Amino acid sequence: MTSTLLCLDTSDGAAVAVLRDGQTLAAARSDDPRRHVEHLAPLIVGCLDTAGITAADLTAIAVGTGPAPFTGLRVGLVTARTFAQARGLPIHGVSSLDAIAADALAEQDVEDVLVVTDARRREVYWGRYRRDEANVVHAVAGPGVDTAAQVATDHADLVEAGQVTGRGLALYPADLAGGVVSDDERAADAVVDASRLGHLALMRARAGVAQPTEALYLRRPDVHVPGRATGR
Amino acid sequence: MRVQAARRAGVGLVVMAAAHDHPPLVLGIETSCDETGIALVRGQELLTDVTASSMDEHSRFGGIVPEVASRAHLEAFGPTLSAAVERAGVGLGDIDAVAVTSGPGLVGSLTVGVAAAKSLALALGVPLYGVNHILGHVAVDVLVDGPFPEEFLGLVVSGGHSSLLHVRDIATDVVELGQTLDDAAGEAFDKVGRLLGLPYPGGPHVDKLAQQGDPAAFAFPRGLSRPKDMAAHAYDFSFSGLKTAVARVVEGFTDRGEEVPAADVAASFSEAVADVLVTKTLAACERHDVGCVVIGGGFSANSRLRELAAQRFGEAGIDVRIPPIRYCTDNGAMIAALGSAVVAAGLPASEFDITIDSQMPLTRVLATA
Repeated sequence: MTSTLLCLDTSDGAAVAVLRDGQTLAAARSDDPRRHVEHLAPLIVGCLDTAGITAADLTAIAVGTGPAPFTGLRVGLVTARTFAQARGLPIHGVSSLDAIAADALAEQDVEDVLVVTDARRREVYWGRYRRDEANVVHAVAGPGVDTAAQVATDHADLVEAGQVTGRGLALYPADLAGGVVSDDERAADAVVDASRLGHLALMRARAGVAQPTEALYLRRPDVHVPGRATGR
Repeated sequence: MRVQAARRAGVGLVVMAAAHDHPPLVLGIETSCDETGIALVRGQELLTDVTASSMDEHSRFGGIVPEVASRAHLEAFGPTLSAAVERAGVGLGDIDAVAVTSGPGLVGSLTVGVAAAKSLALALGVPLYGVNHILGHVAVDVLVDGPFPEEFLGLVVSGGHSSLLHVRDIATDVVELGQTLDDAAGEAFDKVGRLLGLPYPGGPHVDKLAQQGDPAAFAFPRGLSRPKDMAAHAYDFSFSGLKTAVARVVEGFTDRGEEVPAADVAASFSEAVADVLVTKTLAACERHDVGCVVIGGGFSANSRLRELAAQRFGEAGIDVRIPPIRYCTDNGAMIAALGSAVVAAGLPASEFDITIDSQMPLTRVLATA
């Protein structure tokens, strides 16, 4: 049976792809990390159109679960969950950092990579990954959220070897890139490759791995407890 | 933004009422604050209304925590949607249009509902309508009290809003006569609740305490009611000065080491709020020669407001319509009702690139990009 997968990620910018039997039929993206609610649905419409299919042709949904800034992350998750519910489709959640790691290690000879993305508030989301003999990429440590300096200390081996990827690299070059701003286009890219995320989801689904869509917030909500009201 | 071949997806989608034997089935989604509300309305008939609230998670913080509310919306949305269609005895495929609160409200909360609504409309291939939350508080009354008269005044009072509207058609002809210049009525209640050491949310607690007190014990000010204020702000409200006056009285007792007569303070404060709301609305009725008032929003649950409105509008021969409390607080029915009115009026569907608008003005019933 033909599988037609809609892939979404809103962990930094917004990314959408449609995969049919593993082939990318359409992909679209927005670099804006603060306008997911405006951009995501038109991107989906554009991708379905480019792929020449309708919502009724989809057979599953894959979605990036972060870690990511909260409001944008929720746009992707509620869009994916609601779409799946409306069409009665299975849904697969994939860590956005996993997708970035898989993308980075697919094109490199090295086995290990540190992924760092923008967590705002002068911090990065991070995850440390390794590719095994079977060519499967696993998280070795993380996901976590910390200052770039702390992450650089904790993973000094990978930082010194230059095996770091993700937008955190461009944001904190002094800590993570030895003071050199990487000219690697991917390192500065705000957008997850939605096709790569979809491939991961399909591979894990075939392997029978559970893929929940719980949001990876990694931080508790900010709570400001108001004091007693006073007259002004 | 790079959008590959992004089409204006709303084009070509119209609600084909004529294709059915009955009016279109409109799903309404409300997530502007802490309630996840989803309802189904056919024409002016409410089929189902389901609400999940995160209030219990907020009460210990003494106020709505936006991020807590947003997280709760994400988790509550799917189950609430399932419950709504199940209780209505329909399938998701039976839905003809999706309406959603675009604003005003909390950005994070609104974002979850609007994203979900777009996805649902897209997945089902039906039109989307991003609508104004405040107008929904008026529109919902049609589900309870039947069709609206040709014109009426709408008084929307809640923890976030206090607005007086002149309505000829809830979808196409609403004029804002006035609004609060500072605190909303419900907000003032929450603050006074805190002054009196009552739990959050203050509204119901102050209301309950007030019923045991003397409303004439303290002469609290009626905001914007003096002649010179009435010239410029005849139908505007102000509750900040009132709250300050209450604070001074409470501080006076505390400073003298006396016990605060909390019930009397609550009763006198409640009286001042209800009095100014009813007096100004009544004046607007006379000025515009309107014989019907619809009161909505969470604060219309206030017992003194209900009493005073019934009494004074009754004396003036003005019909007053206040829906039951469950339709006064935030719910999906209000958005489904407004969506249904918008569909019936033939307004164009929203595009899929509409934004959320935390400050959405009352002059707009529908959202923009």
